[in-house]
Amino acid sequence: MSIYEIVIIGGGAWGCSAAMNLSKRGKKVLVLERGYLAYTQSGHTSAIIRQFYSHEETAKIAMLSLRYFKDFKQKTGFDAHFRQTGLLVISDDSESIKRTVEVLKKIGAKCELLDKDRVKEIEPSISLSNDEVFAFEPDAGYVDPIATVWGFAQCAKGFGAQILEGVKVKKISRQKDWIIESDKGTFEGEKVIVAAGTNTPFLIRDLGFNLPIYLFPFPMCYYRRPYGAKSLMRVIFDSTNNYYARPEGESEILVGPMHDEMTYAESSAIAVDKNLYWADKNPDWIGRIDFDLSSAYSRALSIRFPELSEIHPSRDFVPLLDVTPDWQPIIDELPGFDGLFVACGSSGHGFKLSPLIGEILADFVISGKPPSFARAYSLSRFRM
Amino acid sequence: MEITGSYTVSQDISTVISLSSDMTKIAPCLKGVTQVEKLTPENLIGRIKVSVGIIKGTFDLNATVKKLSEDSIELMLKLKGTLGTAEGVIVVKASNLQGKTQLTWKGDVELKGLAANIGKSLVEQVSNSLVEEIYKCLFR
Repeated sequence: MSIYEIVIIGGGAWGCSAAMNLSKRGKKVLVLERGYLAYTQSGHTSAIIRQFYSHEETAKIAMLSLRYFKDFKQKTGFDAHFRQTGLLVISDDSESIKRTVEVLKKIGAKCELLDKDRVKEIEPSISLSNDEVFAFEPDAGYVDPIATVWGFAQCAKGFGAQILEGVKVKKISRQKDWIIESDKGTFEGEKVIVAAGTNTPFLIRDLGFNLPIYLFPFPMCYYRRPYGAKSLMRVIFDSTNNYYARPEGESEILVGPMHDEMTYAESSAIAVDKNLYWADKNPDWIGRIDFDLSSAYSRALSIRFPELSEIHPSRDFVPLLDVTPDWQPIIDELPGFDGLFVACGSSGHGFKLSPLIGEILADFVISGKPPSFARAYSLSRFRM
Repeated sequence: MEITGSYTVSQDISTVISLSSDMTKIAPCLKGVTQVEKLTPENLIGRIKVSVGIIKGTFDLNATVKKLSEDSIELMLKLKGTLGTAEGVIVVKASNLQGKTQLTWKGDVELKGLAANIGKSLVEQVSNSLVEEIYKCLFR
């Protein structure tokens, strides 16, 4: 049996980014993915790349990750297909918008408040109310999430990492090193990173850990763009009508729900329903949206953009987000288990942070000490 | 989720039922209505902005009121938006209480979608305060 320096469980954006960063630094790395790359959350994300967060640490990581996405091809040798469209934020909560713009200015990210006339220049057919405020983040955009994970993975392989798909981990236990039992045999690693999204709490349950994770259904729907409609060629956060949207190529628009505090990671006061606690859920569940919701999205879009009134849904999915009580990720070494790291609870922000999360994990695992960026995401902030 | 509550007003039962069963009188007491598409004595269709605790959003509103008897009415509410739907049927009974009229309500409210996952524990409190606000406004 080969002994790896680091075994990573999870072949999504975080796992593959960590694999790339670790193998680049000469580590012998194995990635185990139970399905195929980007099988669950990374394959079911909006992949919006933006910095618009009022949580300063998260905004900084998002800013550095956005820069990485812009140079993705140069850095990895592969194309994530980043499309810089800008992000237009519309809200009737001026305090929340202004606060977030200030955070971005403070960290050095481009973002400004706009007046109604300027918004009309950007989106000529938009319908606006007098009580609304607007912000614009010009560097934002979106990527192809599958191409991103593929890029991280291929780059990691180029540096010598081994990536095995179709390997379902059953048990993690400690002997001299960490032993990972799977349906395809047993693997051994000096250190282990569990970055398995919704499956993470299940994988470490046997070690006596109940992570504070809730599995939150997050409904997304694609719509056919009406022929000739020029609206919404950029990312839109419309918190008045509670949706976000972005173009998907030339012919579709992707729409999801929007709640200010959730989206800006602004509040820790959102009490997620107890019924969503991970232990009672199927981590592999992916659902569908109903007609009520698809029509609520199209109505919200057509209120904002009258030329989209004939918009029609084309496909949809409802992945589970792994959410923590304060809607911030967990990146930590499990207390009492040297060499076992968890990276989970991304709370819907994970994909866009993946380039930096991979670097942070690599620093943490190699040094054994939490890098400054990881301190805000320590497990000790929760009472367990 | 079942909701129950009560509120006492100084008007007599007949006045209370007459006002409470007329949607054109109730509508101005619904806070946050941003758009009215239809308003009759029985029905209100429009759009409403809700901001109670963590439940913040704009919803399509369909509200219907029906007089069931000389001392009771039925209120049906449906809120639909991107954050989910809320549907409730509430029966309000009026009874004499030492020369005043006590309104007692009982009903079921069902919440679906994203709002159900972050606001379920608030449904009872939010629903009761909304009904109470309507009566406070109608009989002030």
